[in-house]
Amino acid sequence: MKRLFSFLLVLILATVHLPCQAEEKYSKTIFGYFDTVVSFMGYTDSQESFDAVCEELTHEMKYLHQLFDGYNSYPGQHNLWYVNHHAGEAPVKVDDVLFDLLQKCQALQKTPGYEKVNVAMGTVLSLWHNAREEGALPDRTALQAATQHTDFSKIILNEEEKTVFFADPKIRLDLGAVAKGYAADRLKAVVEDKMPSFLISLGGNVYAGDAPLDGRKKWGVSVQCPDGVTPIQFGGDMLDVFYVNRMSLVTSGDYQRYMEIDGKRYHHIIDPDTCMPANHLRAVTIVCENGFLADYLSTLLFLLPYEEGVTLIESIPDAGALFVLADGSVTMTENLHAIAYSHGATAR
Amino acid sequence: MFKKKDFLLIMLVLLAALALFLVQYLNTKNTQSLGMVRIWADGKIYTEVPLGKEQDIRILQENGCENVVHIDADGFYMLSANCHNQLCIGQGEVTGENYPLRSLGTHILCLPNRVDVELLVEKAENPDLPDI
Repeated sequence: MKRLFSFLLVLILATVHLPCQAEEKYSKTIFGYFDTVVSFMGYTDSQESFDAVCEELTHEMKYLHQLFDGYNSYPGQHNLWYVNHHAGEAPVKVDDVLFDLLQKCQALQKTPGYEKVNVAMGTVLSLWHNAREEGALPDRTALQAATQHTDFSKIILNEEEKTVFFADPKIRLDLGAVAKGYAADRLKAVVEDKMPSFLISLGGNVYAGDAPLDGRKKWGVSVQCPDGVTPIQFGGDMLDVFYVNRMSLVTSGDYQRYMEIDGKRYHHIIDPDTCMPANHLRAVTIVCENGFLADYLSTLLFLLPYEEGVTLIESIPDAGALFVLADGSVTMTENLHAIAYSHGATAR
Repeated sequence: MFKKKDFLLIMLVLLAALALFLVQYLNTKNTQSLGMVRIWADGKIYTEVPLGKEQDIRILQENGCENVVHIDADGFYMLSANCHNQLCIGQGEVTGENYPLRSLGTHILCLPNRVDVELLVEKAENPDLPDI
């Protein structure tokens, strides 16, 4: 009798206490970094441990934000602004992080087929930036003059000294095409040991970590539908949903930063060869593990004619792309079918 | 054979278990704050208000940023804001019904004023709904 009784007791206590061991989803929206809004969520055992991760994340995010800031200077920080204002005079010593990013950009930009993403075209991009602020097209002659100072080979990176030098003093760096993707990789490294099951979005630049801990096998990441294109599936303004773990998703599109003049849209992704916004696609989403590469490729494929983009993405193992063509039609590489809601994939 | 004492003991344990369960059940109910609107200002929780009574909540920050959220039984929307772009006003209403179809989900965001208004809902019925 006593044995039966103890057995019952254990059983009852176990049943009562099981539910409280389950991990819950916590989330936070963070403002003030990378000129966008950051959404961060993850599964962990308490609000306290989530807050602790958030604190470390925010600390790293602040550092990266300042490092890649081209508009402001910070005391004692050789950030992008500092490099742009002093590397024309003498080599500037920079943090390993900034040096590493520039080196990665240089290596990729040298690769045949990858040339169109040029972080050394800051002179051209700032003319377009000012034009969008003022709502008028940039001056054609000014653009022509600016293109004379966009030669990446004039950016001299010294590996041993970790210095950056502009052999052309008028050249300017603009990291807009890669900074958020690269930052996402660094932030992932900060979070993943402490809370492996997480998702972070830097204004649409998404990284999803290990599987959610609520019974689902995958995170669901939606892709926003460009205006004028028919949304599919769940309704609302989603174009599709991808179910992924340990994967980056980055979208480049014509529908977020743009101005309209005489009914024509001028967005922010500028073709270095024409100095005008590229019009091959409405949007392209890249899915691959590395955030920097995903960010780089999304800009690159947006600048390429559709067929060239398909050929290029198919040459990269474990990378896929979703395209919204100029006429509004939607296609994706075959390897994405298995993770796309529109092709029957689920989170389970 | 059961003795009377054994029976009493078992009943006692069962009662204790029931009490424990109730305590935990109520606790989780509380932490989930079903049907609550959580308002964040500059990264900190400003206040939490339950859906229900029709009311306007004023969010006034030290830096002069001011937002007003209208709350009723179904949901909430941004009634006014002194931000420069007024995008938060255009984000419409969040209700218990419509949030899976909104690109911002359960949130209304005012970036310039750093205000985030969030509807706290229980996990969606459909596990295939996206997290973001």
